[in-house]
Amino acid sequence: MPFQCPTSLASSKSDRTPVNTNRMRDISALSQSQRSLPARLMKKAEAPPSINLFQVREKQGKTVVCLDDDDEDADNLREDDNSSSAEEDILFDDMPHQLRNLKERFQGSKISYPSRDDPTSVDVNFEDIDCLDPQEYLSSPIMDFYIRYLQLHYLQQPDSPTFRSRCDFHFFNTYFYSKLTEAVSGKGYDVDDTAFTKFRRWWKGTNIFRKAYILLPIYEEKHWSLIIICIPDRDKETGPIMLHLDSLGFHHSPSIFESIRRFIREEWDHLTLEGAGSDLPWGNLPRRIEEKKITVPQQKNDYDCGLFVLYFIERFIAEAPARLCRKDLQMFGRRWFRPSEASALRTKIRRLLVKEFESSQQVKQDQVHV
Amino acid sequence: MSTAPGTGAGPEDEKKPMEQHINLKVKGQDGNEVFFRIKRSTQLRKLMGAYCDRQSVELNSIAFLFDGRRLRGEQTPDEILKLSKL
Repeated sequence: MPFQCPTSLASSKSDRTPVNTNRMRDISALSQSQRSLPARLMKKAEAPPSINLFQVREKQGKTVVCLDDDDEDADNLREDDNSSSAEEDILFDDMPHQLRNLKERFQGSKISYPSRDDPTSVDVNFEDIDCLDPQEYLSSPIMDFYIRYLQLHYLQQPDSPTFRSRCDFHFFNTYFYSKLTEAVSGKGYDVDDTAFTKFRRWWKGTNIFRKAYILLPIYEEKHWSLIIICIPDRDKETGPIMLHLDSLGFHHSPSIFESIRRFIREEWDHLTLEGAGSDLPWGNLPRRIEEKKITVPQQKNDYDCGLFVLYFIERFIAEAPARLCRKDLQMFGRRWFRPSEASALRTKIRRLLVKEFESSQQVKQDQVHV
Repeated sequence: MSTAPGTGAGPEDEKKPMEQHINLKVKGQDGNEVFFRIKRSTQLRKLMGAYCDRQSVELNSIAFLFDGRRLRGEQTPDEILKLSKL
């Protein structure tokens, strides 16, 4: 056996076969932004342990893990899954009774929001809700859940004049920005565009320049902030405006702006090359892509940055004009809202999620009865 | 509409129709890559579990993404490919 593997998952016949990379499918494994450290303490905190990927990796020639050499493995695997919940036998002594009941009831369960059939659904494990406990730091699944919730509740009701059209907004998920920096970094334009070409599948079929707003959560150095790219009206001579909203002023805006600027330029170049010119708001991408570090309400603690990003999004969706111009920037400011309003999302999101888990359990019970 | 002609559906999509297995590359945040060969009809939880074991990370602390979409353990490569062509 070439390496030791703790379970039966890796096949005993882990042979090493040269692989034709052209036919390789790429999957990214990204860490979940699970627990952000208090941002102010960040400089002291150590960098996340860099995962020692592939200890048995060979310098030349790739090691391939063959998972399906025989069918027995698949059966073993299912058994494993069923037995895994036993170890989570934890006592919740200091927890309110109600919460303890919920934990017992939903332990190990999972929902897909809004539904399993929705290709853009967000999966949440019941254990993900733990990050909504007091003083905990928000994780990606919870962030993505609430962003999805906002889209569905504030943007999808075209009949109502108070609701914004969903088509005007584009939301990238919490994993997007780290891929963006990877795709635009370390290379000049037109030199080797395969990274960016692959990256474009993330928004396949969407011309981002036809949106009014592109919202993009930033997770870096264990802190959340928000970028909003505003595409002004066609008849305005201004180019895109990038807004950076940070409830601690912790992220380094200039380097984030630089990555986003590259992203905008690359996407513009790709669309132009594809002949989508008539679909673009300007004949040429304006040389100046404006950048504004926005003054926003600040969190009063170390742990609410994720909630602030979500509340920025919520308020922005509700208040943004159809297209933003420079004068609209006065909508923001240190007194845009009270910090306690953002912090209050903690309980609201928990309530929403518990409701979702209850209704998904109801659906399952109904199915059993039928 | 722009659907990235000539880039999205590249040579990677060509396959022999009867081929049972597929090669998958999992790229970690640090840029390292692990290759898996798996049946097209096998649920991805198998790959996810194997990957996490190798990396000594918790399954629920990482997310597997394909074209920006988070993969579920119940999904199979076949299902994912069908989705990505929509």
